[in-house]
Amino acid sequence: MNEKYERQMKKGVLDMLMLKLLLQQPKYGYQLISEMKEKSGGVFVLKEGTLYPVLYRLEDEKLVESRWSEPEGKQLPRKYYAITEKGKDTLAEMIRMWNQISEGIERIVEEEAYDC
Amino acid sequence: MTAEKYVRQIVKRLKCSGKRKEEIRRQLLADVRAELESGEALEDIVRRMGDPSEIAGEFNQNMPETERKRYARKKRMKLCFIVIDVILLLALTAYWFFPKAKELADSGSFRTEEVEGRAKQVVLSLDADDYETLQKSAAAEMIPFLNAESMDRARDQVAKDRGEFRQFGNFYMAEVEQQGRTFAVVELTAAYEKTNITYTISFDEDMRLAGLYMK
Repeated sequence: MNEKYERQMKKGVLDMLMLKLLLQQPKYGYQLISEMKEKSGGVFVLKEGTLYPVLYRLEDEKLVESRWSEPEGKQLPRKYYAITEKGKDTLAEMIRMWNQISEGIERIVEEEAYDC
Repeated sequence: MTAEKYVRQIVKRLKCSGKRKEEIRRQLLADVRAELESGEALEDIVRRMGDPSEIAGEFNQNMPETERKRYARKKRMKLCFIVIDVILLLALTAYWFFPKAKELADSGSFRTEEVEGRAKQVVLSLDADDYETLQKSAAAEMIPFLNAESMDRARDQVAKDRGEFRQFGNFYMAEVEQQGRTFAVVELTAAYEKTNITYTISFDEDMRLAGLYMK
């Protein structure tokens, strides 16, 4: 598939997917990359250069907050991201919008396929 | 290649504030170490994550607008400081090169009476063609010029036939600092039978003759 189109399509939903992954519990960077890949069936393979700027932006917009963990024994400190209340509200709105958008897309795509 | 070195190569290519760079450094290092802990080899991690310039490029492309603005502002400030530093350096250099003068009476390096006396001695030695005396008390760079041939040529340009020396006229004395060296400079007028000659004579800190000009 053309990488440019793939990148553009995926870029639009990253914020929503990130917030969704953080809904259950706080997570750190490597965890988010692993889960994103596993739960999407390999469709979303994020690199650090994409993941972290998204998280920084979400943090600037107060949709997530972060904290460094205390080192425990041999375990190194990690920066955990957690969704905020504002983040939860925004996520709900994003999912609603996504359902609307994907419904509209399906109507057009299915019609085109039928004509073919 | 160590994890720290790999992460350092990424971070140095980032275009964001120093604070954000440090944060990214810590996070990347924590991620790499977490993967090492889970049993993955560093070579495999590096291969998966990619070339440092590639990762940094991705970061820079996706960096939030606020960070990009902070970086641009930091770059502008850095450029301002460089320009200021260059201007200061040029000013200091110019200050060092240009002569700075003050009244000899205010000098801590020279005594007015001694300078005046020595300046008179120089003129009288010149008139007596006593170049040996002049050379004995001259700075090294002056010695080649303190001879009959050079002095006659100089005096002929000023006044071929000046007549006998009559008296000294006005004295103006100053301490001059230039290029890190200090000189006593005397301008004195000598009245001769047929003309007046103004001598500008300078002495270095050891009271050696360092300059001679006549008009």
